Amino acid sequence: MRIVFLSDIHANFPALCRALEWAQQNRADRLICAGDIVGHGPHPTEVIRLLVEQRIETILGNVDRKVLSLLESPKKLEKHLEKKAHAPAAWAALALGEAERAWLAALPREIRLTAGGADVWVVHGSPLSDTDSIYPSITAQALAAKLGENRPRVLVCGHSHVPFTREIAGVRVVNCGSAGRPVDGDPRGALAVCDFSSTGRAHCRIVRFAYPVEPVIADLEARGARGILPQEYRAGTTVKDE
Amino acid sequence: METGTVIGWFGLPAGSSPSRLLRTLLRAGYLADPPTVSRYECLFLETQDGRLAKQGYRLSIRQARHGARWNLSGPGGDSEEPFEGGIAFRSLSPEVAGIPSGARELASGRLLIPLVRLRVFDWAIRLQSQSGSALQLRAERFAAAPPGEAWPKGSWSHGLLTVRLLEGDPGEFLHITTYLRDRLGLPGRTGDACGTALQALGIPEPGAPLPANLMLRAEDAQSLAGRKVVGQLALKMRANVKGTLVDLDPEYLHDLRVSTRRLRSALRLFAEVLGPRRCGALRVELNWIAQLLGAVRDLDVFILNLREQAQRLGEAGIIAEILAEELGRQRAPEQEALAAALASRRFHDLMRRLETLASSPPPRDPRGAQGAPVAQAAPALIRRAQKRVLKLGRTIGPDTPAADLHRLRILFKRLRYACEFFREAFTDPGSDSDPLADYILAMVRFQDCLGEHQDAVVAMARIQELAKDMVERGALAPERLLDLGSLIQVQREIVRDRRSRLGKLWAQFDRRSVRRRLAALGGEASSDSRVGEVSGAVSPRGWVAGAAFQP
Repeated sequence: MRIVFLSDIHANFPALCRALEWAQQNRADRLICAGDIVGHGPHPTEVIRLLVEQRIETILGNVDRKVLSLLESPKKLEKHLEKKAHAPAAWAALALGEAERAWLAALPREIRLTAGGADVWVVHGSPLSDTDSIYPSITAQALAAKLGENRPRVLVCGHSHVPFTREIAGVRVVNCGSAGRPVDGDPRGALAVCDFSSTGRAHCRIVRFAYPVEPVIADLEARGARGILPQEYRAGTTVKDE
Repeated sequence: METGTVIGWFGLPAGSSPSRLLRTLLRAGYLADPPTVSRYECLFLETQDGRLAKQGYRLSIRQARHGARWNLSGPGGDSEEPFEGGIAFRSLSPEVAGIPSGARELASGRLLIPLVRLRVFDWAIRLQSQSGSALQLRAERFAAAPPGEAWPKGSWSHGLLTVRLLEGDPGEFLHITTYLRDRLGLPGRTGDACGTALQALGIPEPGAPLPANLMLRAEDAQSLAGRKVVGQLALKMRANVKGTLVDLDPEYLHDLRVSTRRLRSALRLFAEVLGPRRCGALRVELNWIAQLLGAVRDLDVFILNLREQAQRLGEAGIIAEILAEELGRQRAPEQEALAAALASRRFHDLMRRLETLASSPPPRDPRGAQGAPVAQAAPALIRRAQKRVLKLGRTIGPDTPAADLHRLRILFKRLRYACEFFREAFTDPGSDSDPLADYILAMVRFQDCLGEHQDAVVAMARIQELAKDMVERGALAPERLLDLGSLIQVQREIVRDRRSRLGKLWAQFDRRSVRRRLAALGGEASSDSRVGEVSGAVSPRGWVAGAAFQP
């Protein structure tokens, strides 16, 4: 069984389209998105509608949660647009329609499933919190602390935007990286693909896929989306805004 | 964004069917009414300067099985009116009965030219988005041909998808166009079916702005700037050749002549950086075609002036009308000679050589003047032309012979063209400030005045010569010659009037403030920039308003 895991699309529609094309061409049986669907990019509505259309199982990320929390006080949304820390989520909140907001609000925080006999746990940041990150340097002790008593065969996460896969003390840790806003110096989007055998073995790898960046930048400017600079898409890094 | 004006275009690749597209959109959550399907042939009409398209409109005659109709499509949607008569591939006066009143207003007196014809399979559908907004999706597969030419083999060779927001949230227009672009991979297009067809056939869109790669920038090296200017003018020539050849509208001929004239001026101005021998050889060829163009255009202007004067003179104006008719007859062989030249291998070679020069790469390692950026080189080139104008202009007065005024007019043209070539390089796109605007305007006024003066001087001699010739041939009754006096008197009055205006117009042109602005072009003024200040004698001598003049 082949499952493709995506995370941190961040309202980048062309990137999601290319990721779905890759999954289709490579005969994925299932697609799961590990959160942070909206925020920063110019296409929050398009991304949500495509996830709905393709029936992709999705969990809530920290930025999605922030969007929902801002929607609780809609009168303050315009003010939040002026604050750097809140602007990406505020812009996304304003851009979403009722149906998309309702869909977002109904998302779970995690997904647990069994694939080929292997127990798989999908979270956004880490089992501790959606704002906690798991980096490639994580130690066995640190991982054990995050997992607690739950020890899945495969732990899938995102949030850090740094993709990797590593076997740590019997747990295959898979960070999908970011499909729509990579920051590791490679402007291509990232996804993770796991092949589960019937014996419970899991073979996971990271895949990078190219997508057209310029239309995203053009839309970013045309729609006035907040929170990301054009050169960040082109370079696949974060740039300090002076 | 205003509903109804929100429109987007995509290419529809061969093999992609509208029904498959619709199925995908239905899966994406859109609701659809049943599609409407039609087939028709249409002929698009436009003015020579593209004034309909510039205002967002297209005018066409659509011939379907149930009959023919005028169609005017624009920001507010489509309006249709019945069309009577057959479709002919000739220019139409907007005053012709039956042309939609909207189109008549948009054309504002200019002739409507047949532009391109299409054979269209049209599929349209009304969609409703998840938020309740209404959108229209129109898929057109079409074959295109220039007016009067046969349809190409293999029909429906082009495909275009048009998306229009009918009502509701403009955001829904963005969502569907993003979906079509990114999810379905449809390539974006910048124009409608007419524009797509023109592009495919290599017919320039009338009045279209210059392509970005030909726009001059202040940092361009002179060698590149020269090529860009030649490219711009060759493109304008190309756009007007066919209309001149078929004689669809005198404006084609006028624009072709002006482009030719400007090109000669550009080749003189940039000779040093483009190669003096090459430029010299091209100017000889341009001179050849310019003379043929001038022969027809001068007649057009002469006829137009005579007809205007005939109306003013009333009874005595009959002679002007007779002469205009005779000139019209003389025009036919001149136009034939011009058409033969435009269709000749010699002209074809000339265009190819101009376009080759424009597209040739500038030297990689330009030296001297070639490498100087426009910002630095242009002020000196403009000032050189200005110096010549000022030198002659400041010596003229009410008694200056017409030949000197004509010479001044030519020098003015060179200066004006030099300013216009470099104008865009000095225009700040942010603020739209154009430091040369006032200067060019003053030049245009002075030059127009000199032009009318020269036309009247030439007309006086020509009228007498023509009338004499007609009497000798028995084409004009001798007693009609009595009316000739009043017609010549009109020309005299024009000459006197234009001369009386020159002093004031010169003062507007030769202003210290304008010269200072010109000197400041491109940054710090060089020593050369004080050209306008040296003589001190800014006012031309002896101007007397309304001074009598005898040619």
